[in-house]
Amino acid sequence: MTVLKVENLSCGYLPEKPIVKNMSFSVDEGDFVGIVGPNGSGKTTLLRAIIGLLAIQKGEVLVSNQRIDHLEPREVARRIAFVPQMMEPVAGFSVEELILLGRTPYFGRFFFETEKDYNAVDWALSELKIEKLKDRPVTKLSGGEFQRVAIARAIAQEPRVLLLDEPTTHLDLRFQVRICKLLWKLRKHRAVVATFHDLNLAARHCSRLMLIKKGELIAEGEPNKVLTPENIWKAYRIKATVRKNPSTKRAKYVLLP
Amino acid sequence: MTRRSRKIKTGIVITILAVLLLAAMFFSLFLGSVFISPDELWESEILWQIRLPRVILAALVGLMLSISGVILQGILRNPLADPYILGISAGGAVGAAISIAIGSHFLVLWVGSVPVTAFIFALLAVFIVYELSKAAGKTSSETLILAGVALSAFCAAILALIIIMTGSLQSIYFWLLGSLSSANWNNIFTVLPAAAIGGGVAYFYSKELNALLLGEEMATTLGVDVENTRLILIGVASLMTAAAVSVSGLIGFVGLIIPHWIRLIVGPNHRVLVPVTALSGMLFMVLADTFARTILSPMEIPIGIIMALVGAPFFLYLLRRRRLSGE
Amino acid sequence: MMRILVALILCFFLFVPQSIADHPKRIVSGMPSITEILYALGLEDKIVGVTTNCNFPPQTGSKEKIGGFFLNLEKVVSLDPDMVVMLEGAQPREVRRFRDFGLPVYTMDPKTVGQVMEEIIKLGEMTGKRKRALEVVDAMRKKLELVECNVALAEPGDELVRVEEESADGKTVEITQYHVLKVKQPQALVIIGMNPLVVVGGETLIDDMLHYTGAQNIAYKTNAAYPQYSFENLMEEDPDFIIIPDGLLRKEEIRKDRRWQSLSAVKNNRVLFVDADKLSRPGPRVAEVIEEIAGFIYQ
Repeated sequence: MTVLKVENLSCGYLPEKPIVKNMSFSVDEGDFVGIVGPNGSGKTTLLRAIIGLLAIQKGEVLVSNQRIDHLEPREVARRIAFVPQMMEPVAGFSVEELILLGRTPYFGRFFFETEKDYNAVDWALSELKIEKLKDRPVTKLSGGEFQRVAIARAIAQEPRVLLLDEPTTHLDLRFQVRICKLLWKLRKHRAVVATFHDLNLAARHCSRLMLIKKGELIAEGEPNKVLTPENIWKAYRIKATVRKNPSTKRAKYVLLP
Repeated sequence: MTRRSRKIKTGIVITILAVLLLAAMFFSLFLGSVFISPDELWESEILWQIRLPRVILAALVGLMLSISGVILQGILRNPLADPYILGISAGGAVGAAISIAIGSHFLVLWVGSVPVTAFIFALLAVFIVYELSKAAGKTSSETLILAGVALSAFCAAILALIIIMTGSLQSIYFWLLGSLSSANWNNIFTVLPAAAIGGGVAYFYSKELNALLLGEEMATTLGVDVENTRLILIGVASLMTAAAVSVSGLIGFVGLIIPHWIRLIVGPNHRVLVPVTALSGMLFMVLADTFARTILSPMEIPIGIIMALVGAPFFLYLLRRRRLSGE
Repeated sequence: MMRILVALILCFFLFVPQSIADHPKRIVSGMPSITEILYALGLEDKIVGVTTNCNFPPQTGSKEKIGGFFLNLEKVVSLDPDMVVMLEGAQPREVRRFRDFGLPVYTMDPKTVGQVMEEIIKLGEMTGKRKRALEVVDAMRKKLELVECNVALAEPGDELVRVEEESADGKTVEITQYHVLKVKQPQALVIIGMNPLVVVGGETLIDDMLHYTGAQNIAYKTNAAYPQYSFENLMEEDPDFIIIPDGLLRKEEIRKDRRWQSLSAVKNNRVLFVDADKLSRPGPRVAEVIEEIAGFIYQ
């Protein structure tokens, strides 16, 4: 089932200079899509346009067959959740209180959190296996722990599509792998779309890859098909060979000396 | 801390503050330059027409200024923001001073010309600041604060000009130093709607204020209409500031110190922060005003002086603490 | 029946005029100048409250205090006054506040020496001290007349202007009066604030007081009552006389400062230090200050 559909999307900060150009793709439920490409290729811009932080110049974005620019901000927030590259830890909040912020689109004006909201928080905590952190102050977490809390906050939003902007950038190797494994688990019942810098990491964990350059989609599909020497040359102007990871049978690029 | 114990803690804090507030209000009724004996309690004009309105007005002004501070700090995501930094107080004071200087007398419903003019000018001040900062595109907190600083300086100049042109020295001192000495029942009815609306809106917008803790963009992704929320909350903050300024002149530091202090105790959750700050602001103001009118009796010290004497060192201490703890 | 009616009418005449003529018995003064007037009118027994700034006559020290610059409403109310006398122009905020509360406020706002005397008589009438008020004003007037006489005395260089009238038959001219026209009116300046320099402008009580001494206030043209004045301006205008309230600045400061030394009033030793209270309070003592200033100018 298609949960996210992008059609002929153009967007950017200046009307005469779109950063994402005429892009079309769709994401199904259960997909874990990795968006890769060189710096300045428009990965983050694309995510920002999908979540509604950036005005769409042309084309449309549909979530569960509804155009997001026709939905109330609150309704969009119930369908798409966003985890930014760097979220500020709010001094004075516990992990639970921070995750509860993810329930904002479900709160009414005069009524606040209900049992249902607390259940969603508990569920998000267990999905990310951070039940133990529940009452910890958010300022006393390690980078990896905080990233999981940030994702749990987005999960508490009960979104159909979970967008993450470079979720592994500030983490060490161990947490990079852990987060990717978590995202692989989280793709069930929803779709996960994340941007990555590390091609190998993306290729190893994602179900699909999208390679973009200068706002245009160069290649899309299974990691093995996207990660070819030709595509890498096209996108990064780098000569590389691609080998299979013997254990996962996934593509892995190796720089030529 | 678990959910339950958090709720219990909030309940305890609110109960203690409410009891303290009522006790402070009650005892300050019996403090003053004139002794009121228990047997003349019911007929005492001083008690019912002077002290009671004054104590109530002190509480309302404390509520309005501290809640304005919470709102502005939340909206601007800057713990050092308050009505003064945005130039709202200065704008309101200019409006009030102009109204007095030209001697205008009109009524809007039951509200006199001075508070109405103060509110108009406070709104004008916010509008100017808002438009100035918006000129660069989407409003960002930094430009908003800078525009407010510029406007404050401009308003201060206009205020000074009015002082030089009209001779009424005493009124000017009142505006600059701030005092609750003009309290009467009329004043209370003038500011009560502003306090009720302001407090209510702040409380019922606490989910937006909470979401804004994560930043404007994250709040947007959580379904908050940031632009709209900001307009409503800044409008309400200026309404409360203008109401407070028009009855008590410029009283500083309440909007800065109280929310800051309360945040350290109960945390940043506005669901708790707003009511606790409101109660603390009321309590603090009642105590400060009682001190102001009794310490040098029969002379009164303008409360603005006391606020600055207490508030400024406390604020510096907070700043130092923030630097040391690297927050 | 008739008797009862007569008795009623008698009662009416016996009691009503008395109640009409009921004069205030508990008076609160909201300003030092008003306290001075009330004492001059012999109302010492009726005064129940004064401000902490009231220091003349010295007996005021024993009266209840109602605050200083800002007045304490509850203290005033507790004194249960039947008359609160205040200065309209100097304390408009307190006047409004007290009136709003329903206190029996009576205000005055004298801007000339003549108005000060009028207000003294009015207050005297209201408090049943008309005779005393007339005496006070008479004493003031006598002082002022003496000053005017002194001022009018011609000095060498002054012109005498003859005021001529045709006699009744239209043939001869009668000289009815001589006016002394000072060729050069003494120029004076009253400084009431230092750093910044603040002086007395036109249409103020002190400006009017200068008229009596025959001197002209060099700052009379400014639009503000008490304008800020630049030292440059002061040097340019270079007044013959400078009047400074006591305590505003010390004589050594003038002696040490080159700017002051360049002024001809300082060079000629024509700087007068006067009692600040007397100078600033629109009360019975204005005549004394006028006398003092005139005495200094025409010494």
